[in-house]
Amino acid sequence: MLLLIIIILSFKKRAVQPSSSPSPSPSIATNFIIPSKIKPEQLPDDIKEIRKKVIASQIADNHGDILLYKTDTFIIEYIPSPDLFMVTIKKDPAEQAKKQAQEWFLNFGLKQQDLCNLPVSFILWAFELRRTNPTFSSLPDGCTGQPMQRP
Amino acid sequence: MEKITVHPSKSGQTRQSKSALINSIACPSKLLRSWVNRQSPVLRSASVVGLLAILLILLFSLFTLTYLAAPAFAAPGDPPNPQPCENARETEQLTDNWMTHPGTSDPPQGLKFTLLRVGKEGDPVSLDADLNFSVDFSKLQSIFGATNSDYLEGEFHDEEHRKANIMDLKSTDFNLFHGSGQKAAPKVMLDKLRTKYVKYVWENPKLAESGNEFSDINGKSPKTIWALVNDYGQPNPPTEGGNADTWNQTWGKYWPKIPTAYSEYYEGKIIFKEAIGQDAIVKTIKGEICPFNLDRIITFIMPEFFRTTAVTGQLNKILVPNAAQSKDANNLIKLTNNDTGKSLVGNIIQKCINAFNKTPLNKVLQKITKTTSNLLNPIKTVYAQEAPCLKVLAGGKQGTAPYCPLPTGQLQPGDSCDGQNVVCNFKIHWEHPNNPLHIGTKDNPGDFDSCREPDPDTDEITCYLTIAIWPVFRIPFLSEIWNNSLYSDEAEGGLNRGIGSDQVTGRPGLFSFFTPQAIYSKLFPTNYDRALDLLSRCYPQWPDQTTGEQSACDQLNTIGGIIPCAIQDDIKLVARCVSGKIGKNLPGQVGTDPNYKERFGGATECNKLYVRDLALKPKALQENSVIGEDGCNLLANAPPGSGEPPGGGTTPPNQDNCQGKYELNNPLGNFGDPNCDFSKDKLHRLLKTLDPLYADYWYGRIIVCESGFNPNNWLTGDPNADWHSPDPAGAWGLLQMGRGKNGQYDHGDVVWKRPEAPSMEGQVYNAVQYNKWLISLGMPFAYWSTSWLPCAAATM
Repeated sequence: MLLLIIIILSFKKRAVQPSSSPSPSPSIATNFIIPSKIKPEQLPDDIKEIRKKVIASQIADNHGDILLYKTDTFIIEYIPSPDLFMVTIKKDPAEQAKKQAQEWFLNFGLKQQDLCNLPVSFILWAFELRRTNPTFSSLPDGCTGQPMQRP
Repeated sequence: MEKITVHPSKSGQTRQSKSALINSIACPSKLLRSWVNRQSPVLRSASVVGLLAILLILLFSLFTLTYLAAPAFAAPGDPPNPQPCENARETEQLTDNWMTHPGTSDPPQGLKFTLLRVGKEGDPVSLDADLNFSVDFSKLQSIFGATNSDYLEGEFHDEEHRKANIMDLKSTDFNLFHGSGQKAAPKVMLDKLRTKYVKYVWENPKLAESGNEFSDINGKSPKTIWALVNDYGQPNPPTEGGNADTWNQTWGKYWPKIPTAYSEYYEGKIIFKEAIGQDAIVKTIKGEICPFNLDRIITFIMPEFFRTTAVTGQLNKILVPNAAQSKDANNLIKLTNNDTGKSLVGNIIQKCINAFNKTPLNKVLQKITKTTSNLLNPIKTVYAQEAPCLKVLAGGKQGTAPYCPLPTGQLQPGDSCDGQNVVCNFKIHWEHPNNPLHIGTKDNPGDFDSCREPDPDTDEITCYLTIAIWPVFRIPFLSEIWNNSLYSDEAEGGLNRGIGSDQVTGRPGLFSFFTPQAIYSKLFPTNYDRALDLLSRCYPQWPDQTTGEQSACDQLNTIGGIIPCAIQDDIKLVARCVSGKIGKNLPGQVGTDPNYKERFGGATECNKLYVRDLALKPKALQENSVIGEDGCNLLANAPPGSGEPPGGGTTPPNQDNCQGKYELNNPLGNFGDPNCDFSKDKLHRLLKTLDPLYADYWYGRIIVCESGFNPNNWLTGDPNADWHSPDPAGAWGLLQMGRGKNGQYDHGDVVWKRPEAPSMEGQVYNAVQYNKWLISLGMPFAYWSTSWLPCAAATM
């Protein structure tokens, strides 16, 4: 049995990292949720207050997803359970939509860097968008972070 | 269209690798064949050493697989050797039973406490506490009343029952001999249950009942199941193709004594839910937030689980209609008569599950819970050591039922038990998850509930924080079943209405008492035979109306005697008239005895599902049931083509784009969110319930990458397409799974979750189940980690 597992694992490794040919760079955007480096409750008080105001700007409750802002190209939502903001971009130009969405947040008095820990994630809704925006980042501009690691 | 820079075949190959890998696990022969044909990309990249090793394994397995597959502790066919506590089984189907202080929604005494810390404003302080929690495991059995299976099948496990002489039973006693489930169940179903019972007991000689002896229908020649199998082989009743003559001379003589459900012990869990701060406690009780779990989990053995019922679990899983059940977490729905109309648990469910008040069956629920809510009290009071409420279960086996001590390995430093591990005291260490906290001020207590004014001498501030911890007994539920009377109470059908079937009355169909041919004619005379028998025994000297056997006259009187039949000299003519007065109620339609409304069917696992589905569920619902082919194959007798994938496959797709939310550019239309009830919030909550450990990983890495939270996402399987799934059936849904190529859980082509069974079926459930299988192979998330390149990188 142990031998079998070893063999299976050997296949797994090969399947994930084919060694027969070099892996090409992905030319398609990868959606991620980047967890905040600090918890929302650890945010500075003024940011906490603004965060509350942002959430309070709700315009609809879609089965638990709090819709905050909506345009033809993107929507901004607050998702209570994971406690994060999500911008779903539905149409190109995605980068322009991302900038507009960030502006929306900044208009509450936040600074660009505050978006990193709010946290805000940018998701490309359609497969085609991910192909046309291969370098698109789920992080707000100027932010760095690592995707969720497997426990 | 912009040309992609990743070579399509590479993507396809990588996807193909996933599929081939999975297939290789499930079916090594395919892998070998691929190797011979030099077709498999996996094998092309596999080492020669690996292939040789596989061949060696295959050869090796020919000689050893039999021994490996058979658990060493329960060799099939061994003589009976009952050791149930040492062989308890584990199930994921657990029903949460919250412990509260009697009469309140607060935790039990001692588990709601206030901590204080003293310091200057902003000083870091840590909050932790050690709590004690005692359980008398010998009392666990007291939460089981009269056994569920006794209701179902009669007291088949009792010695008196096993040794009874059925042939001498009077009709009323015979009526009691079988439980309501047997009366309501088709014979073919009972035969299958009994056949499986025999097989299971024979294969598991350490079951508690493996040593039970059953006499034949005359009360003679008692034998164990093991002895019966040795003498007669595995049973093959006529309903399953066996020879009737042979049958009647062998198993047939014992068949009515064979139970339909075995007794097997299962593991239960004690977990602890915490609410930190007065605000959180109030919100928890109001059902505005879901409390988190502490790390400590205590595993214990549920005594007599297989044939007994956790009363609270019954309420949730048996009496409560499926649409109203708290399926997300299997919590208990419970109502009380307090001001709010809802208990702690009911409130919590409203928040955590959000299903309760959305059901149209609310009134039915209230009716049911009023009549049965007192059954809940023992849960609270047993562990609060308030014995009087145990009287509720006076008809049960408390005081006599067996119990198991705490399993080894459950004690941690600070815990203690009596010498026999029956009465145990657990030390529960609690610490604030955000330690260190900081001392606040009276105006801004910060992490605390409240703070006082600074001490004028020391300038120190005292801050207070209240914590509540609810112990939750997670008990395997015994029977997820519809109660006949409840089910018939309201018309079904439509979205968010019950189970979506058309049934509006009790389950129709033909029913039979379990009736071996050996005694069929004796037990099932025609109405004319019965009338003639009653008349002959009541009036043995007819036409002289001097009475004879009083019991016969009593039975005759229950149908009004011979009135209005004409009195004729020929008793046969009178009997022909009287026969028309004998009731025609089918067992499944009996509704005058209130006890029937409290009776439940089912045992556990396969039997449970089988009994539930076949006896009490309409066919449409049966077809939704997830029954493994190796277990009780519910679909065996269903029309060809009626089999559906397990993960919500019978919720049909539609063309509703949910107000423009979805572009339905796939062959099915809106398959993933046909009810337009998907949300990312609900998805996260569902993941937290189904797979707490990996919930955030699923959410933040896998799903978002695979589908961008689109339950209707679809990737073609057309190999000529630039981007395509290696599975010709395509990649579907949130998790981009297939259409069954790699087994029953490889289904993404289903609803993201079924609203009436939110935690059990759907895309998310399928993926979690599939991954659990991969975890068991030491390959967590292999299905997705070998996915197309961007997400493969995501899951590395």
